Amino acid sequence: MRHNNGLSNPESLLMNYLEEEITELKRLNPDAFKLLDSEHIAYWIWNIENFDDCWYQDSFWLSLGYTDRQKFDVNTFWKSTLFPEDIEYSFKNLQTFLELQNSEDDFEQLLRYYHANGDIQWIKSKGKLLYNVKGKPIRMLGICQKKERIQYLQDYKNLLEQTVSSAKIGLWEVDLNTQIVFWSDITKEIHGVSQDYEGTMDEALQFYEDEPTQTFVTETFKKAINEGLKYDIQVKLKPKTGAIKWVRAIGIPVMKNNVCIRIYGLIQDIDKEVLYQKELEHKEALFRRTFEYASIGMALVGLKGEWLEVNNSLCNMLGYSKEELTAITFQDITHPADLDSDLNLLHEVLDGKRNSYQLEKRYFHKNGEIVWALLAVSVIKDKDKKPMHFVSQITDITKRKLALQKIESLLEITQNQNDRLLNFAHIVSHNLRSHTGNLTMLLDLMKIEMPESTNNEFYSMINQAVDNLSETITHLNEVILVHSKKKDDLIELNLNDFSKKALTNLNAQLIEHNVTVNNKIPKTLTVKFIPAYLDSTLLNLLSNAIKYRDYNRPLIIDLFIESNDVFDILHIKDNGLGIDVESNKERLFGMYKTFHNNPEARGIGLFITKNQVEALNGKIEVESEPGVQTTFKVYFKR
Amino acid sequence: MKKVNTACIIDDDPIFVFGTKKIMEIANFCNNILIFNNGAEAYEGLKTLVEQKKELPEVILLDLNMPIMDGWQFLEKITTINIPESITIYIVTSSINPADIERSKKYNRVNKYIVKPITIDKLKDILESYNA
Repeated sequence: MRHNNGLSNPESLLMNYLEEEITELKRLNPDAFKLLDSEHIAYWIWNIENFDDCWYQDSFWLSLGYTDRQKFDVNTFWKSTLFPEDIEYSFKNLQTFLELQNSEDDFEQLLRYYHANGDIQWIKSKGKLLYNVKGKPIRMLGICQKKERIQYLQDYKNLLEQTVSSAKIGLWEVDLNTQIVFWSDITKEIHGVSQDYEGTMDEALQFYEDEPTQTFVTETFKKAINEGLKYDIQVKLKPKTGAIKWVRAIGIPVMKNNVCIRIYGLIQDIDKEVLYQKELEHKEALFRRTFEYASIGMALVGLKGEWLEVNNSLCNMLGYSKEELTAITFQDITHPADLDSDLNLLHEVLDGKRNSYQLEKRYFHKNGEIVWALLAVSVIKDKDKKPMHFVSQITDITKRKLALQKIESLLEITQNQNDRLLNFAHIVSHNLRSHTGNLTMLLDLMKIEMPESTNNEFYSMINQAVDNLSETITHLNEVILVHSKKKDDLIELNLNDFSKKALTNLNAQLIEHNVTVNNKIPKTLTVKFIPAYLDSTLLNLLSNAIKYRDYNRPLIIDLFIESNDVFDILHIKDNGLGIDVESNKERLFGMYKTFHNNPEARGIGLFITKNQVEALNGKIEVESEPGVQTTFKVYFKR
Repeated sequence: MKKVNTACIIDDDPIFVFGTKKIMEIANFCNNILIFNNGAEAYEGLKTLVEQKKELPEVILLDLNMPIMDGWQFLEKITTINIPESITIYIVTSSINPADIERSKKYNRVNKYIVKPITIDKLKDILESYNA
């Protein structure tokens, strides 16, 4: 069907097959075409069996400034004047229209053409299908309208606004000849003005009232108009209503003969983006400062263990420069014994089992020395939750670690010494016991075998000395025994019951010396202790109170409890002789110390009591005013 | 009260041995006294008596702290030779270490743990349980 009109044939250049066809149509319907032959309307014919071929009336080309169309290929010239993107667009439109065969509507489209001077011209076309005798559409006959500029913009606006409204992009245009300013709905919204607002160019610039913004916008705008320079700027705009916000303004000047005839562009509310960006920059700066000047080592570590970024503290800690460190991985300088535990945790993070971990590990300093560190690692993930890199915080705990090791070794030494001492005490007491046992036995035998020899004073003195020695050794043994008692021998004991028992044992003395006892120990209070020790402690302290009473007044003993979070504290208070606690502090609970010229005082009771109480995690304290009162406080661990 | 026929003292301390012998006489404790200076001597001596089917002691007073073979080692060893159940063993020691007292309870053959010095009264207690 297509007539191929070669460029070599001047006749066919003047007249192609579509032109022939339309001339024929015109001849057949002269009246109908008369109507179309007006100034602003040109008609065209399109081969819809071959979209490439289309013919426009001469007046169309003349209106676009092409005066000698003979220079061009008639069939394809139209495509070379179309805005490239609109060729596909028009083909698609036609295709769609043809697929909707039954449509009675006119075919309509708005296309951009290049004016001979380079301007873009919006042209609206309308067409109807022509059918052959078989009823198949073969041609489209149509007209074009070169619309008034504002009219085009209206169409353009409708088209664009649908696509850009979600992005909050406003359109604007200024016709510099007519000084008409066009703002789209969104542009008005951005400026905080009502939809019926109509402003001038000068007014538009008043929205940027803050200096230096206004000057900057004004200068940019002037430059665009005067020099034809496009601009794309981000500035603060003060809307008529609402808060100041960041906008992006794009301006495109349209030049004709080096003079700007209009300028159009976009305006977008980017306040959120800018603020977000600023916040991000702030956070980034903050992180960077923290990172750089942190007193602890900080690093960004890649997924394979490579140091991506390291701070000064880390470099100082490990003795490497930044360059040296970022050339190796953490694996390279980790103590082999700590590598597995670190890598295991790292893999747990990569597998998503955890987001962070902490461990104590050893690094090697560049000089080969071990650096103990507390490492805290957390993972940074991208928006798809995929790990990107790690942030590591590394604290040098070498000093702490060494101090701890020293303490531990000291503790071990102390423990060993303590064990040795206890062992020594056992041996000494055992051997001493053997000998005193023998001495006692020999003296007993001597008395039976040689009764006459016991009559001299040497025998009785030796006997006395051996008895004293035995007693001393018995006391020593008691002390050793106290410390070999196990803590799990402790049982809950009713303190009131035990106090009553001790008082009953001392009943004879209480009556003899007219002692008043105020027992205010709660009847339900129990303490964890060993029964024999509790007996001995109470008996000891109560008999002490009696022993060291003031003979000038009747003795009053108060028993009561005070408790705190850790201890139940038994108070045994008497109005006896009292002790000068300050000057006797060190010796008070020592062995064989007495503070009174009391013939019964042997100075062993308090020593054993203190040992018993302390062996069971308690303690014993004393307060006293000489001549007034003495209070012993026994702390029972709760 | 029936006397013990043969009592055995296993102890390295000559004074203790001397004193105990005397007290045994005074308390009229036994007819014969067998003395060993340490666990090893006692073990060998008792083993020989068993092998030769000679009369064995009925009561053994065993010290714990001895050279060569101590009381504990003796107790371990003695269970390997066939000595009659009727022989009663008393540990007689200066040790009042609770650990030793606890340990002695693990040996079925040990009848009692006696702390030195030995006295007439303590021997009489032994004699009473012997007669019981």
